[in-house]
Amino acid sequence: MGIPMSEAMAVSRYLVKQKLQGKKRYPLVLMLEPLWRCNLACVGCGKIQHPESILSTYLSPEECWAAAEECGAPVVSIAGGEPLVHPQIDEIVQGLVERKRFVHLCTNAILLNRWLPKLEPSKYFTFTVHLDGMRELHDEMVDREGVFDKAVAGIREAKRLGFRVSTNTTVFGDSSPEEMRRFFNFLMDDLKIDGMQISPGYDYPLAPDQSVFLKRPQMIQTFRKLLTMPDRARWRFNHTPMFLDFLQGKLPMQCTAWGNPTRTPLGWQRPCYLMNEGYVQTFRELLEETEWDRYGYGRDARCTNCMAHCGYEATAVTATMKSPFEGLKAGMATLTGRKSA
Amino acid sequence: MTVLLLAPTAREAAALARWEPLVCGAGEAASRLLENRLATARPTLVLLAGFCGGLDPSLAPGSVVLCRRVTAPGAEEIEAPRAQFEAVRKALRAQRRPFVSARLLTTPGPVATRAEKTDLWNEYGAAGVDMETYGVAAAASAAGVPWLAIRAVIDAAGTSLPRALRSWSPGTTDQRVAAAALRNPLDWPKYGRFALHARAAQRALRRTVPVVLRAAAHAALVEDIPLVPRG
Repeated sequence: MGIPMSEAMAVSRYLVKQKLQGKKRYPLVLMLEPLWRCNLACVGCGKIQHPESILSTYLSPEECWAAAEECGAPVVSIAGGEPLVHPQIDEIVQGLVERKRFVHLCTNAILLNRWLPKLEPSKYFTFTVHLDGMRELHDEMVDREGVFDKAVAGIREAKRLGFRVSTNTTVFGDSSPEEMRRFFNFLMDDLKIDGMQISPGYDYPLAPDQSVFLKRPQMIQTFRKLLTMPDRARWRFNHTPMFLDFLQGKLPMQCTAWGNPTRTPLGWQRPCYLMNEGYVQTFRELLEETEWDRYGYGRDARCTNCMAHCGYEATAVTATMKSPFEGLKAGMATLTGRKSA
Repeated sequence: MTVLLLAPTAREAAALARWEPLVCGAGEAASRLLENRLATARPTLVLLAGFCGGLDPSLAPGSVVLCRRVTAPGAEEIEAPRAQFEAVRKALRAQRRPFVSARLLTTPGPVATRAEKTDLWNEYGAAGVDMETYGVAAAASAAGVPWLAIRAVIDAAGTSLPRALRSWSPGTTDQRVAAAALRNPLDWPKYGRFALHARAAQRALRRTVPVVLRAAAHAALVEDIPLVPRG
């Protein structure tokens, strides 16, 4: 795995604590969306289709910190919208780091150079740059030319300044395993990033182009081809070995929708990061009053083609903790930074 | 209101003895019996209650699945009648009974191994697998009678059935299973666990079915209220 040992240990300690307290449901990663405004309109994105009045609503740093404390998850993933559009994103990050949260700031990196001088490298802080493929594919998916080059330049500069940088790649119908192989080799060998996240695209009903999404059996086939390539041994993923097995259809898993609760400008989004059935004002309401058993693969039609890490990585982490063998595999992957599965 | 309560085997019926279920047989026998019964009688609801194999990995033995829709290999999915389904779902939730409302898969024979279960889960996304629900749903739907199915998981997704049960068919007797089990002492712990899981599934059915029957009865009453034309 590409996550640092300190983060892996903090998550493990947190999980043990939750177990000892006998909690049935607990969050692992807070998905913090301080705004929905974005400087791109990617073809597979269903997050930013809101009226102007809502796009102009931003969470304040205090609201972001309060959400992190209310939720208690050891990891905070700042998403959106584009977080670097937020005028106080440096304050938000700094406050979360002071609270010893492991912060992953998910960005398209267009504005990265503007913010690098205002942020400080820390073991608690990682830039997670959205890159869906090499230049041609990525620029096509984000629907704007030149974004790939900007992101790559931003990553190089961030690495030079000592920041941890990982990438987040959404696998769509147009992503051929061979092209992804070249792309992952480029990320690892050329950009020398610290870790990669991969996830199949979720078929948002509001996404501008529905043809880009894979169906579940196609996803499994694509990931099977991709993750059994000989080059796989060189790729460092920010995922548990169990999640990668799940993507290849080797392990059955059900979604843990409460594992990644989502705080948005309108409140806590119910039921998960990808589906929206309204908002509640407190995390407690979200956790205790959501009918969780209604959601998941086989239970809700909207979950049919979802294999996203925001739903299944929490399942994989919990299962890893339960199995000494899987725990050992994940531990080895963290220590060596390479695949163990 | 008359509910025709069906249980595929005597073991499943034993959990529901208080409500005098009709043992309809396993596999295709269940739908054949139902077709014959519906030719002469017209219940207000057909309720099929029994065990299932778990495909959803989050379901432990004794977990209850309320069938939202049922599918079978190569067949078109059948959805449970909405009014009855919603009434039961809400009642179970109000009574805080643990359950999931999900898809079931019906196959011609038992699904025995962990690998088979994983493949079926990936392909169908069904919470559980059984041998009767699709046939019963099809027969009831063809006769215009609402149906519901409630299943309790007996073998979880991450487990394989003990060897003597893998080739189980509707004609297999308990004595035959016992004889086969005795020949493989290494499997005895598996049979012990399976027996415990069967008891957990029976308990779950016993707790859940009365709530389902009450809610279904209420739904039938509401449906019987005639619509009064305006003006």
